[in-house]
Amino acid sequence: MHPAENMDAYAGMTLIANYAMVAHRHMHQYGTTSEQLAEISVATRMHAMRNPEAVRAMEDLEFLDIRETTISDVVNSRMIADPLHLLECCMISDGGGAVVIASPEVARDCRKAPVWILGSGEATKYPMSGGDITTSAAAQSGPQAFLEAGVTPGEMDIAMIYDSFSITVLALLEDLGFCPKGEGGRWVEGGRLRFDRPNDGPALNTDGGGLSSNHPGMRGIFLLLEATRQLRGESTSQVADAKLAVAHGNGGMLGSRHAAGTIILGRD
Amino acid sequence: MNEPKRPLPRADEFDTQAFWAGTKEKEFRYQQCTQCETVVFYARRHCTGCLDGELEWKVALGRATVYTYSVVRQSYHPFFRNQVPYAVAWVDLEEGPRILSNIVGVADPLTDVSIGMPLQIEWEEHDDLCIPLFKPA
Repeated sequence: MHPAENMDAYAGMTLIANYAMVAHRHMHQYGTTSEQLAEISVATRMHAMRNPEAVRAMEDLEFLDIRETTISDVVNSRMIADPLHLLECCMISDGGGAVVIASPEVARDCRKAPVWILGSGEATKYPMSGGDITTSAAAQSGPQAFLEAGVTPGEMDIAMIYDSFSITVLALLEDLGFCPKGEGGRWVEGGRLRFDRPNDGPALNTDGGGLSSNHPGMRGIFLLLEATRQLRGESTSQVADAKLAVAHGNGGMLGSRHAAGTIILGRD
Repeated sequence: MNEPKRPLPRADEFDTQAFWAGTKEKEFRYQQCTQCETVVFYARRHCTGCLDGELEWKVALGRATVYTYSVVRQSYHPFFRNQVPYAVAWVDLEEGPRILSNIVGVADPLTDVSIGMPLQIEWEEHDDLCIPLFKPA
């Protein structure tokens, strides 16, 4: 048994409670509200409803009342682990994907236009005594990736951010540098993350995300797939002339031990 | 059929056995680096702050506060499913260690737990060790 597991299994913290702990502290520390967190669920569901494969997945999983949602729908859905509601939690589905990575010489000669890996970063984090649970390993992996790519968060057209829960996205957006730590709640307000608001910053999870298209437990591959679709002009919620995308995956658990991977993608 | 029980730690797990041995005496043991003074918890072989300082065992008195918490409404675990709603929390002991535990001794966890709330340790007794739980101070 892992020593950390030997120190926490007795407390009955569910997976959702692990993330809820981050959300609660974020609310306490920065005044973030459930309504602000709900913006993330609403934007991704809007994108999901435009993606026939996401709608099909929700039908197959027997979602009730499959439609676009409102902030009120989200905050009035059933509480699973305070303060996270049902519609702030990802779906549980099957899924799989693959990417082909090739040398520039090979990539230039393929049927599809190449998408370039411009930068990458990785980091890990664990719960330190006295540490800040609202900051994830993305605060290390993000800057590495942006530095290597020579671009800034403000230049991103697309943000494919691991959305296991609403709070995951909020914390990761801050850590990646889209806004200062603690200001994510205000930053996402007013539908900013929708694909049809390109002047407001990146479109979030335009395939419908883990919240509303698929989540097989580890959905990092789908972040890369949809970012690639956007950069090739093939998304069902296409951002006009999308040139740059960030894909960020969070593995493990946000509120305890986790690992982070950031990849910046671009096109010719 | 036996009632499902709280999942218990292994008292002989290598890194954490000294902590669990202490709980038998209702003593909360943690480590601190003699070089950089980083509080290390759970127990480790190395300092998580400077990596090479020597770790010294200390005892926390059991006064604590809620760093953050959640109230679990839904669990599939055979023991915990019968406990809902219950509060799980990251708890900061006054001396510095942060531990995951449950808040007990509240009439309604949905309304009676808050971040920053003062706590006192309450040991739940088992055969080979005691589980550190926390109640309002």
